[in-house]
This record gives sequence, structure tokens and C-alpha cells, in this order.
Amino acid sequence: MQYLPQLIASGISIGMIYAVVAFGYQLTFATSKTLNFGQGEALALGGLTGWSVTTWLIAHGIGVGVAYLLMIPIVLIFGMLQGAVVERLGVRQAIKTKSEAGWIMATIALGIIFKNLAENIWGRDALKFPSPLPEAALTFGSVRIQPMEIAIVIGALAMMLAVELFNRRSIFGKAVVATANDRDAAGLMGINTGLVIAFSYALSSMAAAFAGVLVAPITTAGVSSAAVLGLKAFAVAIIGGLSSGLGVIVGGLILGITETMTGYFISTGYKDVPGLVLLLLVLSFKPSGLFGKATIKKV
Amino acid sequence: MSNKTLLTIIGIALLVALPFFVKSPYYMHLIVTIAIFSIVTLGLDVVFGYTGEVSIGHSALFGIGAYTAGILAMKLGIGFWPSLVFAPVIAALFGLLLALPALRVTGPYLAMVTLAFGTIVQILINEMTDLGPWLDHFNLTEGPLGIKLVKPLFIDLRGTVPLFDMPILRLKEVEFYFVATGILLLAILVINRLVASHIGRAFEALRDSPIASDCMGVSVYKYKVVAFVTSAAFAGLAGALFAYSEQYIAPNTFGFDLSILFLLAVTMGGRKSRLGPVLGAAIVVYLPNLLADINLFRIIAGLIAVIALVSGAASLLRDRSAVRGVAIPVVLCLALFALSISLTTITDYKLAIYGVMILFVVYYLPDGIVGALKKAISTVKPEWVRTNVRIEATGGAGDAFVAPTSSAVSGSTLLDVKQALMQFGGLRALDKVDLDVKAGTIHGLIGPNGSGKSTMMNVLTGIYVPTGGEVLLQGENLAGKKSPEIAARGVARTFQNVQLFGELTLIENVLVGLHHTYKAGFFQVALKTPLANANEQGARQRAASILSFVGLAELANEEARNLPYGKQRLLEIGRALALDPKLLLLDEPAAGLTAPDIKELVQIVRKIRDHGITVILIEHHMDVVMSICDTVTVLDFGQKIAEGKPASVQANPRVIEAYLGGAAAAAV
Amino acid sequence: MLKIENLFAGYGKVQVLHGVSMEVPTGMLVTLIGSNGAGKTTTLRALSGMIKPESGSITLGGVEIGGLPSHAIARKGLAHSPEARRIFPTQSVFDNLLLGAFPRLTGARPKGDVQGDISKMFEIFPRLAERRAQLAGTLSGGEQQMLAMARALMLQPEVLLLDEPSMGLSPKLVEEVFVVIARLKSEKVTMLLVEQFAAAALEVADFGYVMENGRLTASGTAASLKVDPAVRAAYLGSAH
Repeated sequence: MQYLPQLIASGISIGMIYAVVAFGYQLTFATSKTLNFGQGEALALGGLTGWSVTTWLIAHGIGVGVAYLLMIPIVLIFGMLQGAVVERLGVRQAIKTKSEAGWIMATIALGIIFKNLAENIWGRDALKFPSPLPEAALTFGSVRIQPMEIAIVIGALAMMLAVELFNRRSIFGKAVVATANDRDAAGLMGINTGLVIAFSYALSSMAAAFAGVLVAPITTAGVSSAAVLGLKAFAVAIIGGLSSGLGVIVGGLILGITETMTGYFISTGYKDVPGLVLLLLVLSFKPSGLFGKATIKKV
Repeated sequence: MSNKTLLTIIGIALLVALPFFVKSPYYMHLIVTIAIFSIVTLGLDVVFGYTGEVSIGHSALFGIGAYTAGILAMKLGIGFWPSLVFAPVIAALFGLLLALPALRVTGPYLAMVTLAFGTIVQILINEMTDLGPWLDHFNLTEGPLGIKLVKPLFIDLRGTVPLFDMPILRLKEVEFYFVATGILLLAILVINRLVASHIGRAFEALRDSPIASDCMGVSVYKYKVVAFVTSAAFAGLAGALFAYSEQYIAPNTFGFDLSILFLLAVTMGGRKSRLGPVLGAAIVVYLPNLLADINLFRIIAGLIAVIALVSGAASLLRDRSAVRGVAIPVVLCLALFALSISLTTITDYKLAIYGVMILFVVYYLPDGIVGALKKAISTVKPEWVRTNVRIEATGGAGDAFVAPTSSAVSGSTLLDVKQALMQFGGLRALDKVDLDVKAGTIHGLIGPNGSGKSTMMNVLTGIYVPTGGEVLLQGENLAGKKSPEIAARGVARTFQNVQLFGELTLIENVLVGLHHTYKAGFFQVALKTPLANANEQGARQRAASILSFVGLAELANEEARNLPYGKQRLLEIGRALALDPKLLLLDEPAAGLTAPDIKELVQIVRKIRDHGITVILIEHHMDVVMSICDTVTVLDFGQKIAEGKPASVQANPRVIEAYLGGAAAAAV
Repeated sequence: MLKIENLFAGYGKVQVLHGVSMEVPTGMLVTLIGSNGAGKTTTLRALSGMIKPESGSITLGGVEIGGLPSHAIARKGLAHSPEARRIFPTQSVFDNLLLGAFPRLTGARPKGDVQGDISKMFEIFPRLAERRAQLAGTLSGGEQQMLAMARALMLQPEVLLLDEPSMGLSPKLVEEVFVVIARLKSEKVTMLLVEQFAAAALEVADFGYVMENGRLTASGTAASLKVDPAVRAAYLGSAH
């Protein structure tokens, strides 16, 4: 059991990544009751775009730390554009025709297309991402933590906090929340709810892309595990409740820690299983999530 | 002999002759694969087309079937035929294991759950190479290495029938072809019977309106599980065939991409048909060949571009304002052609092309190829489509509608609601309401919007579980029971915003209400036993008489969604009557009706009461309430503020204050 | 100011309005009365773009707004306090009011003094001032109705549509709501009021229309409708 603190520490950073991606699911679900089934691919694309920008900057003589910081805003913009494309091609029409199978299939299709394009551009193998921080681990007693893992936690929290602040403080953010509350009534206030939904998709993919560049330095960048990652993040979104803001952090931590434990005590081959089983169990027995409220059905 | 039987015989003859014309082992194998995939897609269509749920886990169920066959052969030496029994059973068991918890959720949730299931199964197949010290480190699945099998030779026909004098490998392939297509035909037969039966109607009913299904005694959950498990069994069966057809299976085959391919096949071919999924499977299986040959792909992309240009131009000539709608697909098709010219190899973009195809199908072919063809034909020759799809209503449409003799003595209490309390957060939608409904009467329930009338209906039919109080129907407490259980006890209802099964015909809508009269189960339906036939006959006669009771007999084979609004309300009442109810709840039946429609409605409600069925009526049209109700209860803010004969309620100052605004009082 | 000509509208197959023509002149309070299900709410929903009219014309200050999406109509100056209030439950009272001024804050309408208008709303509806930081979902029914009206007024609208402001309120609160409506009238806010309490509505209105089964069956000054025998018989009982 002496490894327990180490396993928990390692689980926290990966858990925060799940939390950010899950947060992205929440954003679109709140405004439109739809989700991007290609959210994992959005993360992978973010990581790969970040890799290209960073390596290009480094090749032009810019230090790795500065290159990384310069890359972030570019990736954020790229993520927003990618999300806007998903909304325009995959979701808008289906919302109009109220076709649930339509947007599910369409966002899956877009995920496949993005993945395939990424494979052709960046190749199938995962790419080593230059780390902006020293890779030597810091030791706290018996626990060893990479500086980048700390950066992940800070970056993830900062991202979620920034979006939450935007939603609570700015009038445009309030318009987003109003659309989530009651789309028709928001329209009566002069809020273009279609635009808000598109915007929520842009934010959602932006969050995923950001998670992609946060995690890439400690893992790698690549699309091969994108789908599973998106699925596990969905598990986190469900555990946290699709409508409950900070539940995703708790959900992410639960999953991240369970995963490192499974990898250690059973086998790394099984490390994806607990997240998926958790998804099955939570959806089956408490679909509104551990932190969500049950909804009243209207007849 | 009907055209249909003739076509079937010709089709089967062609299938029998096929292997003697196709000499290439490669194409032989391709055809067998199409047959196998068709079994999966036909089964998937039961879930996707009929119940409307998206499953992204069918590749895993297919894989479970394949691995059942593989493990039986490799580890236990059990051969082909037994594995055809074990594979569907094991896959069905896994399907049940998934369905029991997962089918409480729907839509995107279910899609994600099935996706998770698929991923777990793939991981397990990869990892179960060592079951641990307790099981002697047993290697169950061989992991990524995969399992090899040998295609069986069923009967050595060489030397007996000259036609079969062929090399042994080819004979194996030909025999396997016969087995696979034979099983496919059987699958088509079983699914045909299933979807035409009361079980198939239950699938469609729960898709079109889950709430109405539950309230008609057709448990949404139960039938979704039935559909999913059936579908899983077909996937498992196909999996076993696949294992022997390929003679080698490995975990990577049964991934996410394959599930998407199955879904693409069903959507592209056309849901809710037998031809569609088979056609879709054929396209999906043949597609890689198409993509392997860049020149062929260029030609096809060119053809598509030309067709898109021509049809785009044609639709512009008809309607000039359609520019935006037409422009996008045309531009996309042209872009596809340009892409096909610029690329030197296409195989790397295989998945992207699947993705584009899915998008295209979702937007421009939502009913699939078969659906689009049907539509095209029905504009030219409507009678062809109609007679092929729908079975005529049989039996005496003139039979008088006979309600069951009610067990309740007229005038005694049928329904006794005691202190019903319904709380949503801080809001008391029903605040300790008592309601005493006498048998054989029409009991009116009125009050302003939001006063709790509809909440009361939902409590009575089990859609809401009351926070407190009792709902006694002839002494039995219904509070806490589920909607289908309450329906089975004789409580039927209509809905404020009509909840018909839109894609079912009128008679099929009523037949869903008659679901409780069917005694035949799944296997009896599949085998078409006399009991199953008798059930269907009896129910159809009853349904026809109910339709004539509500005056809709001549529209029996119309789809419900094509009915005018007023007739939809009448159909809803007819469907509720099919439940043989003791108590019928009508929720604003006159809303949105024109004056003549209302007159017809009033007469029908009176006739229903005269047949001994007790009615609770929520209505805003005061003239309707006053003219037909025996007793009226008034709710306001979830509380009962008045009750009694219509005239006395109408004169009650509290009622005038809260609701009538003096209108009715002046009218008397 | 608001002019409707031959409006047909409904939900899918159900046609509710069969050719409605009416007018709301600037500075006037016009009321639309009728029994439940007559099509009053549907009229308002068609006006504000919550449903698309099938045919007919709707002009606001001479500009055609029929068929525009609801956000575009709001930006042209039509405010709608909808049936069942539809306030934003997870936002504070103050934020609900800010959202009412969304087109003004985002440059789609002249900005004016938003803060000042909020203070004015708190003056008209003192109970909202007490609850300014509270989440709107925790307000009582009457307070939510006040908030819905105040939120609609924050648009500085050319015309204000009020849908059953009395719905689900106790008689005392209904009275309060009508006091506010009378005050707005005295301030020359152009209003179209849909009400089930016909007597109270005609008491406060300048002009009235009567709707039955999706058609207008009577119209006239409120004073004349109050004494019209047919209207009295159908909608104004002897109790009032």
C-alpha cells in the first residue's frame, strides 16, 4: 500500500484532463441537449496541431517554453473553428428536424473523418511532444510528480474557471446560460440561440483541444486512443451529471485515480475498463449522475 | 399465385443457381460475407429501425458470436452445427446482460453505453489470455494472435451429383454459401413474422410514443429488451458463420469501425425493410473493393457528380428559391470528384469516405435507398407500395363494438383517491386531494391552467408516483405501480397533446391497445403457430369493430400521422377503448376541435358511458362539461375547491372567482 | 404601432388561428379576451416569432416582422412576457433583468440608461429589489410574474405583449398585477394584454378584441364591449 499516494497523485492529473473534456460535453448539452461524439478526436486534433505549431516554432529558434505558450492561443482558436464545423455540419440540421439519431450519427461520422484526416497528415504513430517543463520528477516524500502534471492541474482548473467566469460575468455568457435555461424565452430576449449553440460547440472543442496540448507532453500526441478517451470523458460527464458544473472535477478525479490503481494492481491492459464499467453502471442506475438532479418528465 | 410469391420463388431460384455461375473464389467469399453481414444488419434494424435506438455495440455482439464458435472449436473441439446454437445464445445472454441495465436510458446515453460495451468486449478479448492462477492460467481467447478454424465439408457430394464435381476447397465454399444464404433466408422469414406481429407493433409503438405505449399496457422497457436481445442473437449467429467463413478471427476485426459500418449499412439501405439492410450490407462489403481501385472510384465519383448536377439543375428549374438547399450537395459531389482525381491512392482515406457517406445518408437519404425508391414509386404507382407494405384489415368491420361487462356495480365507488399529494420541489401540484368517482358516471375535472388536473391524470396512470396518499381502484391501491401495470388493471387514457403511434396505421394503433389479448409469445410468432394466427385474427376483428365505433373504419389502413387533428383525437379514444377499460381518462379531448367535431365527440363519450365504462373528463369547453358530466370536481392551486352536480358547481362563488370568471353563471 | 392582417397560424397540423386582423395603436392598451383554447396565446406566440405564421402580415411600426426568428423580432422592439412566465431559474433577479436588455447591451438597440431602468423596475416592483441577488427559480409565483414583466420592459419595447399575467396567482396578487398594468398604461407603454379575466382586462384597457375558436368575433372600445350584451353573456358574468 506504500504506492497508494503515488497512484493517487498520478491519477489526479489524468483525471483533470477527463474533467476538461467532460466539461466540454456539458457546455453543448446545456444549450442544445446534444453532444459531440467526436469529442475525443477534438482533443487529439488539438494535441497534433499543437505539436506542429510547437515544433515549427522550435525549428525557427524559439525556446521550447516560449513556443509552448505561443502555441496555446493558436490551438484554442483552432479548437473553436473545429467545434464550429462540427456544429454546422453535424448538429444544426438535426436540431431543426429533431432527429436524435441524426446528430448522433453525424457527429460520429465527423469524428471518423477528422481522425482519418489526422492519420493522413500526422501519421498513425503517436508523436513525442516537446515538454515545456523539465521532465525530471519532483519528489514529495515518497511521491514523485512531474512538473507538467502540476501544470495540467493548474491549466485545467484555469480553463474551467475562465469559462465559468465568462458565463457568469459577461452579458454574452449570461446569454449562454439563459439559452441553457429556456431556449424559447432566450429567443424572446433577442438572443440568437442558434448562434449560442454554435458558440457552445466552439467552446466545447476549444476545451478539448486545450486538454490535448496539456496532456501531450506527458503522454504523446496522436489519434489512436481518441475514441476511448472521448468515451471515458463521457463517463466522467455522466458521473458529474451533464448539468452540474463542478461534478466533472470530482468525476474526473474518481476515474483518474481508479485507472492508475487498475493499471498497477491488475494490468495496464485493463486500465480503460473501470471507466467504461463506471459509465455503464452510472447510466444504468443513476442516469442523472451522482451530482445531477432528476428531471420531471412532462406529458 | 400472387406476384409476391412468384418473385420470392424466382429470387430463391437465382440464389440457388448463383454459385454455379460465380467461379471466382474471391467473389464467392464476398457474397458469403454479404449474406453474413446481412444477418447482422437485419437484426440491427430491429433495434435501430423499429425501436429507434442507436446501438454502437453490435460489432461486439458479432464478435462474441465469432469467438464463441472459435473457442468451442479450438478449446473444446465442438464443431460447426452446435456452435450455430451456442453462438446466438451466448450473444443473446451478453445482450441481455447489457440491455437489462442499459435500456433504462435512451438516445445518446444508450449510444454511449453500447459503445462502452463494445470497447470493453474488445479489451477483454485482447486481454483474456490468462485467466489467472485460479483457472490454471487458462488462455481463453488467444489475445491479439487470434483463433484459427477450419471450414467444414458438410456432405461430400463429389461423384454423386455431377454438378458438384469440383475441387474440395471450392465445394466447401459452395456448400458454405448454401448454408449461409439458407440461414439468411430463415432470418428474413423470422424477422418478417416478428415485425408484422403484436411484438413488432410494440417496437414501433414505443419508438413513436413511449408514454402512450406504457399507458396501453405495452411496457417500453420490456419490449426494448426483447428487441435488443433478439438483435444480439442474430449478431451472434452471424458471428459464428463469420468465424468459419474467414477461418481466422482476431480482436481487431470487431471494433468501433465495424459497428459504424453496420449502422451505415442499415441507414443507407433503408430502415424498416428486409431489402434495405441486405442492400446496405452488400454495399458496405463491396465498398473496400471499390476504394481499392482508384480508376473505378474516379468513374463512380464522376457519375455521382453528373447525377448531382443534373438533378440539382432539375430541381432549380422547378423551384428557383431552392438554391441554397441544392448548392451544398452539388458542391460536395463535385468536390468528391475533384478529390478522386487529385488522389493517387484512396485506401488511406477509406474511413473518411465512410464518414462522408454517413453524413450524406443522414442528410439526403434519411430513409435510405429503399425508402427513397418507395417514395419515387409511390408518386408514380401508389398502389404498388401500399399493398406490399400493409396487411389489410380483415374481419367484420360492421360488428358492433361490445364493451366487456363491467365488474363494478353502477353507482358504487370505482375510483377512490385519498389525500393525493404530489410535490415537485417546493411546488405542491396536488395538495391532498380526495376524489370519489362512481362507476358508470362521467366525472368532470376542471380548473384553471396549472391547477393540477393533468398532474392528477399522471398520478392516476402511474406516470408520476404520488408523494403521498392512496389511489384505490375497486379497493386496490395503484399508487407506486408502473403505468403498464395500471393499464392492465383497466385504466386507459388519452393525452392532452395527442400521443398516437404516428407511423402505424389506424388499425395498428388500436391493435397496440389490444396487446393484452395476445397470448402467443416470441417463438410462437416466429413459427406462426395456430395460436398466434388465432390471436391476430381475433384482435383484428375487435380492432375493426372499435374503429367503426369511433367512426374511422374506412380509414383503417391510413398512417395515423396523416389524419386530421380531430380524427386523431377520436383514434386516441378508440385505442384507449381497446384496453377494455373500467375507467377511461380523457384529457382535454375537445381542445383544438371544431364545433361539428365536438358534437361527434360528445356523442361518442356518451355512448362509452352507456356501455358501462366510467369516464373522467378534463375539459375547458364548459358547454361540453356541463352537458355530459354527472359530477364535476374543481381544482385550484392543487386543491379541491368545489365538487357536485354541474349546476351547483357552476353557481359556486369560489369557482366563479377562481376559474369561470362569471362566464358560465351568466349563461344559465 | 402593431398591425396584424389576416394571420393564419398553428402547430403542425393543428391550425389554431383562422385569419386574425387587429391593430395596437401607439400608447394604447389593447386587450384580447376569449375562453381557454380560443387562440389568444397562439396569437402572441405568432407575433413574437415563437411559432412561424403560415400566412398573413405582421408589421411593427410599418416594418414587416412576420416570419422572422424571435430574436430578430425582439431586436426590432417587440417584447413578450410569455405564458407561464419562463424566467431564467438559475440566474439572479438582477441578471434576468440584464438579459431583458440584451439587445441594448449588445448594440442591437439604442443602449440608453440600462442601470437607471433597472432601478426603475425595482421602484415599480419593490419586491424584486428585495430579491435582486436571489436566483429567480426560488421566487414565488407572483414574484416570478413581476420579474417576467420587468424583464420584458427592460427591452424598452415599442410594444409589450403580456400573456395571462394573472395565471396561477391568488386574487390579491392579480390585483397587484393590474395596478402595475394601469401604471404602465399611464406611462404610455403600448401593450397587448391577453387575459382570461375579461372583466378586469376590459376595466383597464382602451380597446378590446374578443376571440373565439381562432377568429375575432367582436371588437370595440373597452367601454363599449363592457356593455355589449353578447360579450357580457359570454365573458362577463353577473358576479362582476
